[in-house]
Amino acid sequence: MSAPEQPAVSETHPVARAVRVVLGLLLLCMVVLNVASAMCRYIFGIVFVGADELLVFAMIWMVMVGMIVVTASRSHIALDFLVTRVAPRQRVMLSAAHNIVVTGACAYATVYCWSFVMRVAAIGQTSMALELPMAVPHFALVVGFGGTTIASALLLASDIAKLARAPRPAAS
Amino acid sequence: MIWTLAILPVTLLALGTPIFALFLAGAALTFAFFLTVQPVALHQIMFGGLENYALLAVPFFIFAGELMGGSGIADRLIAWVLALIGRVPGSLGVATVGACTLIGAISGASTATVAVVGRALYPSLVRDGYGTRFSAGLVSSSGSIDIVIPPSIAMILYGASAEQSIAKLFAAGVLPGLLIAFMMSAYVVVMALRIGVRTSAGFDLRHFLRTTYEAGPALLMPVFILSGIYLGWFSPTEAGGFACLYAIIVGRYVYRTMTWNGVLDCAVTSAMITAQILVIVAAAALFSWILTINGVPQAITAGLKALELPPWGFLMVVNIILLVVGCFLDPTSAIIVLTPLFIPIVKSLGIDPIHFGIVMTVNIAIGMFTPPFGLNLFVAQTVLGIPLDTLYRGVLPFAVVQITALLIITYWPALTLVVLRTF
Repeated sequence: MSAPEQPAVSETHPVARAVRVVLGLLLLCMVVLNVASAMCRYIFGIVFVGADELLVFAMIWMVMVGMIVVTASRSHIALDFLVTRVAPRQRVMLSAAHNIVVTGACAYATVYCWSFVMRVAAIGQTSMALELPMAVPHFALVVGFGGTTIASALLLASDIAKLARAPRPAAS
Repeated sequence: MIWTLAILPVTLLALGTPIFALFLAGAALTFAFFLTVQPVALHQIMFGGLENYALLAVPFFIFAGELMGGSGIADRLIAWVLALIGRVPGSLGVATVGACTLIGAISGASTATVAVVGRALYPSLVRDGYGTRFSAGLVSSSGSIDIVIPPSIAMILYGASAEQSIAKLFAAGVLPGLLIAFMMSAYVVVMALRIGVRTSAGFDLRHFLRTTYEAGPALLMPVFILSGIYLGWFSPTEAGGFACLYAIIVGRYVYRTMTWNGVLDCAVTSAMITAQILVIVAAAALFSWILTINGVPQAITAGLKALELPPWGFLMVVNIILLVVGCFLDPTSAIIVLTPLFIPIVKSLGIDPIHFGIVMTVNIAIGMFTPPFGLNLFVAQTVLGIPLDTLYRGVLPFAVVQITALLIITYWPALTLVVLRTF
């Protein structure tokens, strides 16, 4: 909604660009699979076993990896009414506070998502149609929350450095 | 527990914390300090919140909307509506409402509609004498019709959360959406006559036929999508995929305005928007689950039952709650958190959940442009450079018009359900 602060990783950074392009290509592949599956089912009576399952798992991976990119570019949905109305120094302080919350919450989620994935992997659970190891789609949450923890920690470090460099307003 | 489930999230919301994080932080602290349930459950709930086939329609309809903007389909639809309206008093204002309605029949994203229609028509509205305040209010509020006209992302989320048929919700949303568009148009005509704005050139059949020819493939898109769903050719999720394919073919091979790089750019943008929305869905699902296991829906149900409200009284209370919530919370969070709280009461009072879904969607749509935090206002501010103060004052009359429409939709369920009962 408002102009974002300086992102942790510039959107033109080769890694960030590559990840974004991969996510775009993944969405295009999902469209192709969805349309092909529907057309084959209705026109030719051929059923792609597990197409719906694969689409849902792809969406979960897209959302979780996308969450890291969105965090790094500081473009999560938020009510930034207050953020856009405070002085630059206070804005950086607010951003640091947000990043503390994101880092803490996502680190907590990462620990327990990892614990869950280990359990799923240990019992060897597989998906209903494709018989994929269920640890694969579940691992997306570990990657998403783990990556977001790292991205927001980097943003926090950048905010703290900015606060340390910026001159304090003179006391009146 | 009220600290972690109410005071902390509201404080973080006001401070501008990412919305997914405030739900996740509230849930994490509740797990850590109050719940006896193993915290690994948070993974299961969030994964379960995303592992829903119906939600696949969200990225597809966002992608279709992006392709429509990028390939010039939206511009052709706007030109066609302008040619159709002709010499009606306030024709440009009515065309703004009409363009938003028509674009809403393809895209499910209100903010994108405000940006596309605003860029195309706002300067002309001001030039024709509507005034900055009125024009700003018209563009910001008309974009919200997009949420009520199917396909609608809000309806997909409600359907997934309340376990209702998304196809039925889409069908039920058509007449309420058109009612809002009609009432908005009527208000624009009355105001245009009062202000005495310049009337556009009269209806020119040749110009209309030419724009119809040019906009033909674009006009067929909503027909193809919606008839496909209602005739049972494909599910709403599959319709989303077909909408993307159709938009790519029209943009790439019919209008020749879109390159493959352009298609990829739209896909990248759509993937990012999807991540922004669905990560909130996952976190809000967790938050909503914690509210449920702590008996919040049961407490609300008991509280409302103690008041012995009739169904109309309950709907009035819900409308007030949703209008207030809509001013402060984004549509995704409002739907995912509040739907599980309301649905048990809705069912116990004998209110049709499809009708309730449309009432909820209209409320959320109004919240998109009501001060202080309506998302459309910030889009209009960013894209059109209109000061927020002007926007706040400009949208108020349109909020009154849409709240009037909301009351009609709420207390005349037949308007919503007649399509379902007829077909």
